[in-house]
Amino acid sequence: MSPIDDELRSLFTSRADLLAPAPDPLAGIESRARRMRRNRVAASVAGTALAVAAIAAVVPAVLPEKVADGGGSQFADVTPTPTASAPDRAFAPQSLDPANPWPFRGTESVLIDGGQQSLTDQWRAKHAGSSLTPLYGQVYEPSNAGEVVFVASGPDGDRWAVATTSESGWQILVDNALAPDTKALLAALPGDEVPRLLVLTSPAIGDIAYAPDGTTFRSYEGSDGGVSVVPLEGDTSRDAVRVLDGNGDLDKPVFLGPAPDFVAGSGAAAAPNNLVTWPSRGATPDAAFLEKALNAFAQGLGAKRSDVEGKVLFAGDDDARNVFVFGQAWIKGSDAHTFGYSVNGKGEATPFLGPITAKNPDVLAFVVAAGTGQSTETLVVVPDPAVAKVLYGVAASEYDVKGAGQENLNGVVLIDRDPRAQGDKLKLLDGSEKVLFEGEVASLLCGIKECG
Amino acid sequence: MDEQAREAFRGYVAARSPALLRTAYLLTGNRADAEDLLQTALAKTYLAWDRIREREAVDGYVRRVMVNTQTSWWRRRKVDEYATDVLPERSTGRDATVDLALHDALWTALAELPKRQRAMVVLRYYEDLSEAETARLLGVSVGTVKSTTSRALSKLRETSGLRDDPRASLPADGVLA
Repeated sequence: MSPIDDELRSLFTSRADLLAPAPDPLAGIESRARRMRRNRVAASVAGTALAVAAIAAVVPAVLPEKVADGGGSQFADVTPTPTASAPDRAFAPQSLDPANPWPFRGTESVLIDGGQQSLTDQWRAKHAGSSLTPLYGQVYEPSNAGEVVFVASGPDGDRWAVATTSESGWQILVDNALAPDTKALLAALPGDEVPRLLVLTSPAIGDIAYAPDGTTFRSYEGSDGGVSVVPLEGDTSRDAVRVLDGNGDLDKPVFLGPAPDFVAGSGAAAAPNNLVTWPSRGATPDAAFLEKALNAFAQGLGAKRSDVEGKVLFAGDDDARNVFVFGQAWIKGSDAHTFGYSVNGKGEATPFLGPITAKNPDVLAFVVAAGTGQSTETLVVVPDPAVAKVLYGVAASEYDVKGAGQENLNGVVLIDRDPRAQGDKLKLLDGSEKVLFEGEVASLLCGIKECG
Repeated sequence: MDEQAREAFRGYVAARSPALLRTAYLLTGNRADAEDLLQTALAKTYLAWDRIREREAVDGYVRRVMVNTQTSWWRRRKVDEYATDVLPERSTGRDATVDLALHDALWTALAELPKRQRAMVVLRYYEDLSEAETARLLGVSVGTVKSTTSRALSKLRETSGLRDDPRASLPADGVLA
């Protein structure tokens, strides 16, 4: 036994054993239990009153086959297994109705301070005209990322989705059509040690259980009624989820069906290892604009938009009324490229496909083309936040300090550059005048296929 | 729940709540949260009482509910302070100042562990559950318990300033920065 084992035992014993028992805990327990039961019944009755679909009365004799996953998605559509329900109004299972969805559970902290608006913007960039209602929110502690489950309605039909916060904004992890009479939303999410299965049901249900082998169920109690998170380990090819009503009726489960598979390397777990850690600077880009930029990147590389992700490093505009965004973009599973996208005053878009970003670079840059009647283009220099001074020179031995008076750009420098410039250079210094980078601008602008 | 079942539940609470409160306290780090956590876990147990067929398994059920509930609470509550209302004991036979500093450092380090790591450490070193029992209770593999506990202990050593010989690592004044 190691000393730390002894110390832990000693610490636990000394601290815990001095704890006086709570006086008569039973009254509080029974009161809280009654409150929990009342909440379940209230939610259940509300759901029953709103239900419009007849409930199937067929008990599945065997579990259905594992949900097909033809697209390689880590998330399965959870079309409800034909399940039975007792005609007991007080504990009737509750389907998810987008018009009158389940009440929100979990933490709202991930949606405050504009979080819900930015999520809505991001969602509408993909599903125009859609409105969404959050159902559940949590902060996943290991990554400190917010996660939100929501239901949406619009021209694309009823959908349900899971989104997570990332450095580039909201990332949609799940985006599935909502089948009629859905009673459980299941999503396999990435985790720090093992993937996680998130199960979201009506708060009126009584028990959520998971069976790795499809038959040996074990209950997973969460702190919020109707929500459970299950670690996914080992062979999950036959795993299943079972949801029971408030009576715990094993013969008539609210939901009984296979759990979706998690596919490693997709979703939030797919961030490339050359992603820079700098904060996003400048303006907050419009979600629709960002979506167009990432579309352009996908087209430039012949990839599907759904396979492309990005991180914004700087967004803003210049004197020639060009609006632009600059950062990194990548195809899932591949290294990230520096990438820019600009739109001029006439609405003409110009993507910039930069090189694969070096690991831990000191500076990244891209060029916004000269507008009509403009004699200069804009060189956008995005340095490491530790850089104190940016110098630019058109000739080999001459440098001008750039960036003075541009404090609002938080270190990013916009330089008017002659489109015909050759051999122009950048030099970056830290606070003690130490040179962090010195080299030709062209070396930062090498495209995917060629340089210059 | 009929009167007989209710009486059985009362008996269980009376007999086991002091011990379960201690576990809740070690999981949460303060008494108020521990009482709240235990009450929530026992209320859920109350509602499920008729479904728990093996009375010997109730402790495991309550512990599992506590760990799962506490995990979610940690996600919801950003804990910036780790207060304690219990003074560490002053043992005899060792330098009390050193013991106090050691325990304080270790307690602080525990509070900084991720929720699952802390739960595993409490189950292994307070509840004295085996790796297999801990794995069963948390619904994970034995390998995960081993690796997670190992990472937790490494972090505790690192954060608290403990080494394999804790006394040798302490500064002369017993104060750990």
